[in-house]
Amino acid sequence: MVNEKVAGALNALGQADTRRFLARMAWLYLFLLVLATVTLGVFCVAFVASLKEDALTNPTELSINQLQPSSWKGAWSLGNAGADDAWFGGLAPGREVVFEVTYANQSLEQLVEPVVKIPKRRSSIAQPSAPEVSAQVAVGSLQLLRENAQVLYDEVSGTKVTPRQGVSRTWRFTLHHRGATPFDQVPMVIEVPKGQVLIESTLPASRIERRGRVASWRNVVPGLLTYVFGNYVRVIDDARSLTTGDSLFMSWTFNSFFIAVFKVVLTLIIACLGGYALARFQFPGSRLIFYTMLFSMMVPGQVLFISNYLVFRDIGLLNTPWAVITAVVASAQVLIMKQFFEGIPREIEEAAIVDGANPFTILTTIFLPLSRPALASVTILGFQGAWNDFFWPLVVLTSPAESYTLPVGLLSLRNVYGIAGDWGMILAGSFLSTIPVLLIFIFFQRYFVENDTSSAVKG
Amino acid sequence: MSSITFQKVTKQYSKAGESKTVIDAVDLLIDDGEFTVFVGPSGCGKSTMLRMVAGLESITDGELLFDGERVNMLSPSERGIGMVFQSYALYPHMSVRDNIGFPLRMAGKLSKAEMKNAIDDVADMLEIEHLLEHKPGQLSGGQRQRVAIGRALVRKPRVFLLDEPLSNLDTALRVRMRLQLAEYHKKLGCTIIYVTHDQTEAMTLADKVVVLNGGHIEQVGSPRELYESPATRFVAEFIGSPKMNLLNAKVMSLSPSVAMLSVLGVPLSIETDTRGLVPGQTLSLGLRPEDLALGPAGGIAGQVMEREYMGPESLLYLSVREDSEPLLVRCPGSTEVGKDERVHVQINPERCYLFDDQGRAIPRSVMPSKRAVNSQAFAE
Amino acid sequence: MSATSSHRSFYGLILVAPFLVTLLVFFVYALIRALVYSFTDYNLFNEPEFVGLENFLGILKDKLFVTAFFNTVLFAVIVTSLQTLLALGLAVVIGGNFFGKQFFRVAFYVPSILSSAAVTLVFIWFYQNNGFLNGFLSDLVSHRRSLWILIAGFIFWWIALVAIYALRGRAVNWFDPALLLLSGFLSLLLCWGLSGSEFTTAEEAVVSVNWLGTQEYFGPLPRTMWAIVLQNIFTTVPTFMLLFLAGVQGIPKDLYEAATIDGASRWRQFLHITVPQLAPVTYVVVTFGVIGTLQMFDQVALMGEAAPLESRVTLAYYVYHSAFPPGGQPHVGIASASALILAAITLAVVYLQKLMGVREKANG
Repeated sequence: MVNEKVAGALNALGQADTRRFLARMAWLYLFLLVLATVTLGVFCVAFVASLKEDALTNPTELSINQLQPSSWKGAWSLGNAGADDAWFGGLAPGREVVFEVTYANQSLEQLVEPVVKIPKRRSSIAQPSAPEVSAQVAVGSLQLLRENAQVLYDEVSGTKVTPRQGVSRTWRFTLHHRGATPFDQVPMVIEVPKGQVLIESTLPASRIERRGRVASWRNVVPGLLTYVFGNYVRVIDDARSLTTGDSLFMSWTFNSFFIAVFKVVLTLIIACLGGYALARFQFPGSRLIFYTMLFSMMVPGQVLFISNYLVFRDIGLLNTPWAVITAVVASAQVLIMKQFFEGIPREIEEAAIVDGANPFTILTTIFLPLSRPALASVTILGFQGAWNDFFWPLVVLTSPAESYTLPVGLLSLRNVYGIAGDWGMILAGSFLSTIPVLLIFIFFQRYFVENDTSSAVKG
Repeated sequence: MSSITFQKVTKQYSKAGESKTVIDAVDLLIDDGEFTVFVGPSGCGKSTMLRMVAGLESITDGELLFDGERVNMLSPSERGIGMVFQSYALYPHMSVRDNIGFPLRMAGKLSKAEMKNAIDDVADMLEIEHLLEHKPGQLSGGQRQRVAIGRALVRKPRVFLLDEPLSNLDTALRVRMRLQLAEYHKKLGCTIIYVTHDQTEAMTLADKVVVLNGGHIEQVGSPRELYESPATRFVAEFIGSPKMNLLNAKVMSLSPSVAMLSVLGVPLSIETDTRGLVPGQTLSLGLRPEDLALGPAGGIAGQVMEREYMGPESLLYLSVREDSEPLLVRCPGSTEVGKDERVHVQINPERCYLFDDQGRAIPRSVMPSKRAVNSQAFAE
Repeated sequence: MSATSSHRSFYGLILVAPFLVTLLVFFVYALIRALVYSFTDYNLFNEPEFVGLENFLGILKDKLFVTAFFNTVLFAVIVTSLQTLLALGLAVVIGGNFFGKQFFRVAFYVPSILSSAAVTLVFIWFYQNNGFLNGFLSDLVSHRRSLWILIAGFIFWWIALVAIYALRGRAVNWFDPALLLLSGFLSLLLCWGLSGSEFTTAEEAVVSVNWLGTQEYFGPLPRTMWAIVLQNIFTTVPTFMLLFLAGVQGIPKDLYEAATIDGASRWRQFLHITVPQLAPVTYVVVTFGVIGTLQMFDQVALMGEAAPLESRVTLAYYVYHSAFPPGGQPHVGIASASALILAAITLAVVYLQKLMGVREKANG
């Protein structure tokens, strides 16, 4: 019977070519979606992980505390109560925040009052001299709020989850700032006996340690942004220069921008002048220069970097942005501009000569306005290249850490925090560093997806 | 306005050690206000000559004078020329106004208002005022042509150079622009050098035609001189449409002023300067299709291979001998001759041209006197 | 020489001067110095002294160099061939016209625009012992029953459907896309119907492969290098796909129309029209690919301590490592010598390629 129906459906399916076409399209889209999931998915899961307080726990878990509206609500109100700053949070002197926790256990006798502490931790790694939070913030006494005689909860140990039935109690307490220093972060630890499980709290705990006996909060007054993008705030705030105390990440970003912008400008100037000369002028050695240029594109940078490093060492520009900016052999860009200029009709140039324009005027008033597509693509790809460049900055920018560009900075982040397993912060830094290039990509897609290719294939 | 003198002007390109002469010691005088056309087949050097006048091409040897002053070392803009290119070479990113104003801007001598006036004047003359704010891409071929002329004229050049300016236009427009160019020339009275490969353009426009071939001048003269007394076989063939017929003619006997020839076995006696001729010598006999007439009998006999009917006239292609080219005859359109018909062609001995084996014309005592030429011819 | 041409030469020299200066200083001079240093014992601080071929002989005996050499060459061969094939295939698939083409193109291109530093860090996280890859594999393994049912169901329905067709006496193609789609759909239905039953229970499984911090080999390359291969392909395929895409769109449509009229299958059309027509693009892709992969540095450097030096070292990294060894004395001579060997390999490959490219053109 069923087979009859299936066969009937199959008949209909086999009858028309359109069916086959539709099926082919379905496969095409299926394939494309799978592929897009792979290419973008890698970044999506990494992005979700970068929000987590610990990026290495349950890496495939996509529903995380930072993406729960209930946590947002808690972070928002805690930040508001602590420092009137719902976005970035903090605890101002004299302020008080209210926190609630609910614990469950098998029976009421086993359900004891938890111990709340402010750990003796510095408020910031980079500022060892800052006053201790624990000395200025007091934990108020716990007040039993509710009791629930019938709850279902999961007891987790390792990767094993046991569903249990039991009772729960909710306590409320306050954290009161008695000192005078405003704090960005206030850490907290709550200890309970074994078997007692935290099932709800104003803000989810950052970590559950020692088989569930210790729940710790990295910051109980986060504010919404600081909570959701905690690692992003940390990567900017925590890593600071040893000498000036400035945020390293901000220095790297500034350096990257500075270098990329100047490098692009320098490349454009060299490429336009050189491309014009090689495209339209005959002078002694022009062919030699052209072939040297082609040759230079095939020689690995590893051959050249030692001499170039010494050049900058000798003129004392190591560890300055200028060492990165000026070491430009813009061969590829000269070639692109040369080829584009060659496509401009010779008669137009001759008309301009007859009209009384000199070569520089011709370049600026005739050739450059006609070369907008090539200029745009050299600019955009040049910016991307300079922003992403790794090898040469790594060679010439060695210390202090403030002189790094973002990619070199990321390497140092990776070396410092990777050992501690703090991957949330490394991932956050990686994603932050890609934002400018991503924005440029979004706005100027066609220069990546079209121009780049057509000019390269023709070349 | 100015006169232009070429004195032994030579152009050589050297590539990979080998030098190639493209213009070979040319002497030429172009008078003030003259409309001169350089004409010749492609590769004859006519464009190179023009570009040397413009200063776009360096001169290897010889002197180029404007009004007696040497200009070899002057840059194009210092020579006071205006030039129209074959592709018009308008600046695509500038409006028509900016295109025309560009030479003024480069010279930098005029105020904004003066520039505007100058542009408006030129636009007015060329009837392109309504196009001033358009970009070249929005214009038709004829309009672009006029913009290019405007850009060349706005600086009031001493010499106005045009490099095949009409070759990108369709036939109807070409005829109209031809008339207009002639009109502009009358209005401006400036010296014009015009390059073309089209002999019709040369004949209709020029005061003076310079026929070039292989880097040297074949002949200089008024259109009529070129047509009626071509100095060489090349000029004779090149000027005139349809092309002149060339037949082999054998010298049978000579008297001081008359040569007896045999053309396709037909005897022909022609009054000519017979010095330098020897009996038995083979000459080229040039016969223009329009100088031939169909006759009842005698003359050259031939069979009509093809007939092209063109209304007022017909072209007949006659096969006169198996191994020779067909003979072209131009006859009135009403002539009743069918294909494959056998006809006879009369040769008018006063209307034929003789060339020796070097291609040089053999002077004919009769011709110049019979056909008075409006001779303001170039005197060397 | 007259005024115009010497003027032009003068201007040409002025215009090219900035480029010429950088080319002379940062390329010609640097190349010459690398050549000179390769025959000296220079260490950035002493007076260089001529040592003859000692550096070259020394590195040939250095085990790390030999490892780097093989890692680099194999990496280049593997990555270039894989990325070229994948990019070609992808370009052909998305070369047609369909709705949302632009979106997919952009989506596939994203990995190419990001910095190697950012992407490498993401991938190191991905490859951590308790990172995403192991987590994902654990999930797969723990749901293995469902997966088996899915695959078995698919094969069952596929054979069944073909059989039904055949019994009804109809011509049937095993790879009819509609048929495959229906089998897949029915097998999903089957799996969904069985969910909750014991056939699909998830079983506890923990996959914990050490992807980076290992000296183990898989085939010809260390496992770490394979991890870099995967990551490198991920970032380079999109760029090359775009190159191929431009080529695919440049193939005249009438070639395919003529082939369809001649009765050529799609596969034959691909082999006999698409591939030969794309030969010039392939040449560019392979050349760029070889140059790029032979110089593999960024990913290796960013791996850092996550992997032992021997299982990630490439020639480019060897050069850097010799010039700036962490806490050791710089060996500029050795660095220069090995860099020159890297350059020689690159140039040789590009030259060979060019020879082959020329022959291909002559044949076509």
